[in-house]
Amino acid sequence: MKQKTTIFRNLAIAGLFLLISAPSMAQDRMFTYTYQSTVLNKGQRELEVWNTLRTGRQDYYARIDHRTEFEMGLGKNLQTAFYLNLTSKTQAVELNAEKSLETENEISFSNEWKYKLLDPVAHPVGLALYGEYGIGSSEYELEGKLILDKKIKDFTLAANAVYELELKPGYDGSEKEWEKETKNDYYLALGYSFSPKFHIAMENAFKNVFEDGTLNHSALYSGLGVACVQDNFWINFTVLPQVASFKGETNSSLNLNEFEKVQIRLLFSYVF
Amino acid sequence: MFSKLQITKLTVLSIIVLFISCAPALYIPGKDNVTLGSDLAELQAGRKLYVNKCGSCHTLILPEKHTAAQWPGMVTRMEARSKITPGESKLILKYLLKGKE
Repeated sequence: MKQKTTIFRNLAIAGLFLLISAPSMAQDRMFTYTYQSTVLNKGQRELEVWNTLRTGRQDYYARIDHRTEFEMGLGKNLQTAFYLNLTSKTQAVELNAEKSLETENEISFSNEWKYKLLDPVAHPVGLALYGEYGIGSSEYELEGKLILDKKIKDFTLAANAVYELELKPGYDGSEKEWEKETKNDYYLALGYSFSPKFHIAMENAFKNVFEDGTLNHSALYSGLGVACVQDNFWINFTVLPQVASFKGETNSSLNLNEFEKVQIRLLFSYVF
Repeated sequence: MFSKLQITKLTVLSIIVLFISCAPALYIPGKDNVTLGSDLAELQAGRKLYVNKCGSCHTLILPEKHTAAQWPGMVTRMEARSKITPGESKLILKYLLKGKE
């Protein structure tokens, strides 16, 4: 019994030593919502866990999105990633003038590709193209992103333009039809590095939802975040409250029909 | 005075100007960098190699982030992994040391 304990203890020490002594190769990701143009080194792999809480709508609403991502650097400025996405949301529903809470769960799979065209250090501006498709049990998604970023001394500036197409199957009477929704979002972030291991960031997200080509919802989120890097681990945390609405206001100048009052996201990752 | 949309447009425009108006963080060799041990063409070739051979795999490190004593060992360690020839690695090192031998 004592021998078994010693073996486990030695294995744990060896594992800890390996983790501590591994070379630092983590991506310099400073933002939680806004993407930067950098890609993983060739052969480098990263396991990322995303957790997002969205809450505060016109009526009760709480949603948790969990994504587990396996990212790989393919070389020649290209990287790919595979995601397993789990979503659980509870919201108030009204049926025959009676309200109740309803919980929905969804599982989906996504695959992303990112290609760096210009380097944020070597060129006046970093530029990357990003594409992602997602397949779920009740939703199909296509997403494209244009990523720009720039380093000016200890500051990092990043901007993303995002186009997303969502297709949801449904029935009109007995006839099956596809509900189409497009999203056009813009992200802007400014980060400051206190050291290579600690950064603070301000992120802004300008979100727009179109239904049948008409802009129905538009809102601006703005919040603060922190990013910490420790050898091969990094953690990013951001609180993003909705600060203004441009279309579909429901309450005190916010849009709480389509969007939430606040989003909180925690990312943690291990590079190996 | 300004609508929310006008403020947003103005902010976006200012940011675009900021993005494209600044020089790259990685220095572009000029006559000032030329020393007895290097010429401008070598430094320019070194930068090109550093960006293309090193930047395609990892985030580029600014030359000033490491000392002249640290760079040679780092470049030698990367030589085999990045499939650069000894001649190319010499040019990269020359660029990283800003022409100083």
